[in-house]
Amino acid sequence: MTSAAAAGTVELRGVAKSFDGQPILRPLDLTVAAGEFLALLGGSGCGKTTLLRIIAGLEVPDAGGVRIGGRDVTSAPPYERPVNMMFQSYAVFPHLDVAANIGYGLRAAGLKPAERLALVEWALALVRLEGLARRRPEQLSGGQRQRVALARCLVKKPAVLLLDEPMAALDRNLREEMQRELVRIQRDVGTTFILVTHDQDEAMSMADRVAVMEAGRIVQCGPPREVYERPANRFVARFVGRVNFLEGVVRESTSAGCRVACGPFEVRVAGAGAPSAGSACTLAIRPERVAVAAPPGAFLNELEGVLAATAYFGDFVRAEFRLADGSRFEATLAAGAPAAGGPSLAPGESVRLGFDADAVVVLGP
Amino acid sequence: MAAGARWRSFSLAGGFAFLYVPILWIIVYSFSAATVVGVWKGFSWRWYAGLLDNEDFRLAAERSLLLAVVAATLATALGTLAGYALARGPRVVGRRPLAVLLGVPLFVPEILVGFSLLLLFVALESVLGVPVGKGLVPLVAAHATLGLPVVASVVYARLAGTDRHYEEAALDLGARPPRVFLTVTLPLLRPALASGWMLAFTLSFDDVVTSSFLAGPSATTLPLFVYSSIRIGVTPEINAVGTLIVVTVAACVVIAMLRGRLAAQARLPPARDAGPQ
Ligand SMILES: Nc1ncnc2c1ncn2[C@@H]1O[C@H](COP(=O)(O)OP(=O)(O)OP(=O)(O)O)[C@@H](O)[C@H]1O
Ligand SMILES: [Mg+2]
Repeated sequence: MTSAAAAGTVELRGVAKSFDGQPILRPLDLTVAAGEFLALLGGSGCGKTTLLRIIAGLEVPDAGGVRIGGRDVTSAPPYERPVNMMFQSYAVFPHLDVAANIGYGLRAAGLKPAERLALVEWALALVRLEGLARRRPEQLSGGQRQRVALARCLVKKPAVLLLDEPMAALDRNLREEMQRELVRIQRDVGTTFILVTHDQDEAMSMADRVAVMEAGRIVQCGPPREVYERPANRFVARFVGRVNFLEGVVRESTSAGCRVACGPFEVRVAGAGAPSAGSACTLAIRPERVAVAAPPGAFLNELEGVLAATAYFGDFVRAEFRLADGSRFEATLAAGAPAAGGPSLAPGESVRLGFDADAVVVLGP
Repeated sequence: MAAGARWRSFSLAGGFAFLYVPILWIIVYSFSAATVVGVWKGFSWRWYAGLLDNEDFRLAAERSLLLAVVAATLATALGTLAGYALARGPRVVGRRPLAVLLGVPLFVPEILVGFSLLLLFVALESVLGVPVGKGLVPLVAAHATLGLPVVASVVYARLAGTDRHYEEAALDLGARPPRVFLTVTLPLLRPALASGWMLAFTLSFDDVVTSSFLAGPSATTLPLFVYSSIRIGVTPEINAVGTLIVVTVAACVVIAMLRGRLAAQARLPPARDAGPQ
C-alpha cells in the first residue's frame, strides 16, 4: 500500500457537535477507506453539511476526533488538511473570473503560472466550461457556477474530496456525464469521495457505500444493495427507494423464517433472525417485488387489493392499491408489459398481489 | 385631504429651505461682482480669481487636502482592521460591547476629543523630546481618530452582510489567513472601503474644532483659514472659499453614498442555501 493511497482514509471517532445547545451531530463514528466513494443521504437539516465541515476543518467538533490519512487533524486548520470541499452554496469568488476561481487553490499552493494554466484548462474541460474562462461569476448560470465550484476543488486533486450536493443544479444529461467523470477521477486518481446528495439514484449508482443519516446519527452505512435490500429501519427503508409497510404480529418463528399476521392476511418471511412469536413488527416490501394480478398459488404471499390509481413514468408504471384495512400498497410494472394474466387494469378493480417470502424484510416494531 | 397634502409639501419645503437656503445664499453671492457681502452686482468670477493670488488660501487648501487624504487613508487602514476583527474575529464574550465602544467617538463632543488629544500630544512632547504637540502630525492623528469609527462601522456592516463561505472556501483551498484576507476579504470589501475613505476624508476636510486645538500657527487648515478670516471681516472672497468647500465635501458624500448603494447591490452570486452550513 502506497502512502498516497493511504492518505485518503478518513476516520471519525465519537464526533459530536452542537450549535447553541442544540445537538446537531450525536457522537458518531465513520470510517472511509482510501479511494472509497461514500454517499451521504439524509433529510434536510440532519447534519450532513456539518459533518463535511468538520472533516474539512471549518468546524471543530465538541467531542471526538478526526483522522485523515492516519494523522490526527481534529484541531488542524483547513489549509493544512489534504481535503477540499465543494460548498453547497458554491462560494464562487464574485470578484474573480472563472479561470482565477479555479486556479485559486493552485496559486495558494505556489504553482507557477504555466502549470496553473495547464491544470485550469484540464479542469475547465472536465466540467465542460471551455471558453468561459474569462467570464465573471455573475455572468454564469446556476449550473455553470456549480461546475466552477466543482472544478475549483477537483483541480487540487486532494486526497479527500467533500462534495455537498455537487450536481443538484444540473440537467439530467449533464449530471450523468459529470457523475461518470467523477467516478472516473475517483478510479484514476484514487481520491476518496464523500458526496452529499438528495438524489438516491446518484448515491446508489456511484457510491461504494451509502450512509443514511437521521437527526445527527448515521443510522445505516453499507453497500447500496445492502442498504436497499436490508434497510435497518423504517426511516432508511423509506429514504432509499419506495417501500410498502405492513404492520403485524409474529405468529411463528423458526430459523428458516417466520409467519406474520397482518390483519386478514398472513405473510411468510424468509431468512433467519426473525423476532420471536408474539412480538409486533413492521414488514417492508419493495414495490418492484410485487406481482400484479398474479395467478393463484404462484407466490407464497398473496394480498387482495383494489386499484386506486396508476402513474406513468415512461419506463415503468406505478400502481397504487388499497388493501382491505384501507392501507396503501404500491407495485411497479414495466411499462408496455400488460399486467400478467390479463388486460390492463381499470381503477376500482380488485386484483391479487403476490410476492415471495424473500421479498419481505422485517423491521423493528 | 388636499389641505393635509398642501401642509405636508409646505413643511417639506420649509425643512429644505431651512437646510439649504444659507448654503445657496453663500454660493450665489460668491459669484456677485459686488465688494460688499450680500449685494448682487452682476455675475463675476473675480473672487475665485482673487483666491488664486491669495498665498494663505493656497497653502491652507493644500494643507487641508493633504491632511484629509493622509488622515482618511490612515483611518481606512485602521478602521478596516477594527471592523474586520469585530465581524470575523473569534466569538469572544463582549464583542458586542466592543463594537459599541468603537462607535463611541462618533458621539463624544468633538471639543473633548480635541482637548484630550492636545493634552496627549503635549505630554508626548515632553516624553519624546520632539515637538509634536502641534502641527500636521498631531492633526493627522486626530483626524484619523475622527474617521476610524466611521470606516470601522461601514466595514463591519459590509462583512456582517457577506457570506463567510467565500473566506472559508479560500481557507479550504489551502490559503492561509493573511492570504485569504488580502485576496478574498479585501476585494469583497472594496466598495465599503471606498465609501468609508470618502466619509473619513469629509470629516477631516471640514473639521474645525479638533483642528483648532492642534493646528498651531504653522498648520492652518482651510476651515481654520475661513474661521480666522471671518473674525477680521466677512469678505465675498470667503463666500468663494465656502463654495469650494461645499462642492468638495458634497462630491465626497455623494460618491460615498453611491458607492455604498452599489456595495449593497453588488451582485454576489445568490447563495442557494441561505441557512448556515
Ligand atoms: N453555524 C450554525 N449555527 C447554528 N445552527 C447551525 C449552524 N450550522 C448548522 N446549524 C444547524 O444544524 C442543523 C444541521 O445543519 P446542516 O447544514 O448540517 O444540515 P444538512 O443536513 O446539510 O441539510 P441540507 O440537506 O438542508 O443541506 C440545522 O438544523 C442547522 O440549522
Ligand atoms: Mg447541507
